[in-house]
Amino acid sequence: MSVIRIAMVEDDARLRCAISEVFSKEKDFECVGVFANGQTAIDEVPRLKPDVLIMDVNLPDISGVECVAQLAPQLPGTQIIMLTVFQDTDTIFNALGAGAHGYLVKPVMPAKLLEAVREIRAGGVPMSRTIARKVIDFFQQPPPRQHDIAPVEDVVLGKREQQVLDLLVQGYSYKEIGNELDIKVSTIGTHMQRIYSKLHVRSRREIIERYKR
Amino acid sequence: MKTTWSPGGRRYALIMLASLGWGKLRGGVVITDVLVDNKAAAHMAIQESEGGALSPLRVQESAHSIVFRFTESPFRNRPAARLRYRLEGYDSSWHDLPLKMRVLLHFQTSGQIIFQQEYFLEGETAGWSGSVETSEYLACRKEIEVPERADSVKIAFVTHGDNVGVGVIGIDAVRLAVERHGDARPTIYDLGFGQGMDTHNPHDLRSYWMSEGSVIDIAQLGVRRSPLLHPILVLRDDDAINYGNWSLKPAHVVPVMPGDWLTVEWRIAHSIGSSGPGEARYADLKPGTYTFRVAAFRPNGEATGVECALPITIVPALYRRGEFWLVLLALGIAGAALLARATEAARVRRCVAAMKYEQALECERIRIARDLHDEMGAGLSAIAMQSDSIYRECCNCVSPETGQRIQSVCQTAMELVRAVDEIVWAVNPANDTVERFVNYLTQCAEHYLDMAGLRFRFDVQRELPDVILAGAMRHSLFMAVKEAICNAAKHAKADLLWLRVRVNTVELAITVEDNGVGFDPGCLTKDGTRNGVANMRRRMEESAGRFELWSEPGQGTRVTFTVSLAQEITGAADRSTLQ
Repeated sequence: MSVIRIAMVEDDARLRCAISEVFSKEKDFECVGVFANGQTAIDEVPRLKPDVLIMDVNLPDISGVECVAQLAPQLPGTQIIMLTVFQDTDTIFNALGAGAHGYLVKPVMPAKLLEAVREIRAGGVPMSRTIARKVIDFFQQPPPRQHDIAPVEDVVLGKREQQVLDLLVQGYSYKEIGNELDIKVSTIGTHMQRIYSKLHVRSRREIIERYKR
Repeated sequence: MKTTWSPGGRRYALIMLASLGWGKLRGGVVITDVLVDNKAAAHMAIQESEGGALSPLRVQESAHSIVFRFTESPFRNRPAARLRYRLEGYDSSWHDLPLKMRVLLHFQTSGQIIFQQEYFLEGETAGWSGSVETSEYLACRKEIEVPERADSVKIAFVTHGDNVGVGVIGIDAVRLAVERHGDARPTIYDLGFGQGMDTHNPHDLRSYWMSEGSVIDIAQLGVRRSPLLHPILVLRDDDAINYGNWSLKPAHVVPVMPGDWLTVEWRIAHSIGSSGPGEARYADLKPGTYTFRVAAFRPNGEATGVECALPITIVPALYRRGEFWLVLLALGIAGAALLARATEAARVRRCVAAMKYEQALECERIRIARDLHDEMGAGLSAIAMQSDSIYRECCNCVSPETGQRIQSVCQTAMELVRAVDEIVWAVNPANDTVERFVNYLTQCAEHYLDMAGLRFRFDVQRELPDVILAGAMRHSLFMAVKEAICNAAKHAKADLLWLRVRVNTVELAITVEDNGVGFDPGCLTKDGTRNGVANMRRRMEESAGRFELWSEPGQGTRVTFTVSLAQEITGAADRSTLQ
């Protein structure tokens, strides 16, 4: 079994310890970098090229979303998981748009953390219903056209992707969606990956512009 | 001055009339003071001649008296100006300053005056035409008893009175009648005037009358044209200082005895005035515009065109003026408006201050909540993770009770993290919108329902309106809905839960429905396990919302929470104003 190389950005020392301890006890994980703030992470993480980057949304210096926006393009092989709280729906969505692949709501139990990381590595793509609703809204809006940058490439959701999202928003689990649409759960995962990719493409430039200001 | 008389004819040379013409008036007239209610309202240093005008004087209606003082300028010229005044708008004609000239009867004993009787001449006689030649003459008749010791009487016409007097007097037909007790007829003395024109000539008059005075040319002889040309005595005083008179020569004084009854008659035409200084007094003038004029006239009353004019405005008392009430009304309105504005401004200031205070309070609440969240949230998260790690490490080597207690620590820590999260969410005004509320609610609901293993369906209205849902109501509503979801998960034995969100600008309605066992709402109060319903009801009452519960045994349960958003829209407006 290949080892999953983990890097983490978390400003609270106790949580940093607790999380790195969780990974250090597992044989299939290696914690290659732990950072207390965004700038150090932006400087160091591209060199480390971890498989998974766990990123706290609230950082003292640079926002987690901006970190993602800067790091994601440099790390095509890295999957980024945001650590967040419930009320940061907008932030989560922005982070996903900026290049993150999933998020975990604090407090995260060790088992849940490990499970989520393994799932993402295996191609699973979780998405909450609330986020799914925002994704649908996002794709229904016309792409932003600003006079000072070139028009963003217009990316639309495929029919199946739209169906999957619609059901997800209504509360259907992946399994229920599979039953409803008569497709495999793994196929749903593929759709979700595509949805994420399109989300990245469509929103990244906008987000980068926004955070540059 | 020369009088020519042609003895051979009955023509009177009138050369003297030409030479009697007045010299050119020098200087002018001046209003020196105006006194309003005896206080000086204005001092006019000098003025004015040849039609100049002074700037208007405004006097309040409340003033009782106005006195104008004026004089000739320069004072005591010769020829002197005869000053007349007139308040245009009040006087219909010119007024002379009061001045008296006199007719004197001197009773004498051996040439010494022992008694003097005076008759005054004042102003203008009726029929005065401006010259002694053409004026109508007034017949005067005075009677007097001859006093003790008198042996003769003398008549004199004098301009001497007030020195400042100027004027012209024509004297004709002076005669004296003496009635003595025991005489059948009175004795008549014609005194040079005679009865017929043949007896009239200047020499006759000069033989009866002598001219006296401080200068010689005031007493002159003149000619009267009516009924026929004949000489008369003239006093032509154009000198403010000097005087002149005509009096009977000593040779022609009339012998009398005490007790005689004396009748003195004369015909006279005169125009008498003063060269000033003088004053004119007016009382209680009505509001309006007037012009006070002082003019220089020739002694005979002929205008010279030299005058001084002072416009006067009597200002109506405030209360008498229409615009006063208008202004008062306007001031009243303005005052009321200012007061209202000040009150409103004060209210706004108080409002702003209150809002600033609330904002500051809110900021402080958020700061406290943030600190709680960051410090406690992270610490509790660490406790939860570490206790879970401990449990997983040693679950095989401790008793099941110990393992449960470790898990309980972990559970409690997690619940506390959620509780802190909820509090921070509730107090953060950034979450005061319906959209944020719904997002938070669905995030928590799906997390909870996923954990509880209960299938669910969300039916959330698209396009949530941008309406404010403030902190307190938001938190109550959230807690109530959470309670409903927990109840369904714990008690309903349902396999599907619906969460429906409907919202317009007026109301937000959230329905939680399950297909579980249901219950009889009528038995609710007796059932101790349904405290949650009471909690939900209380929370909705707190936020002035509605709570509807529907359930039947075996038919599932449906609860609907409705809150009014109308007031919150106003709140949104206030908030935006503040920013």
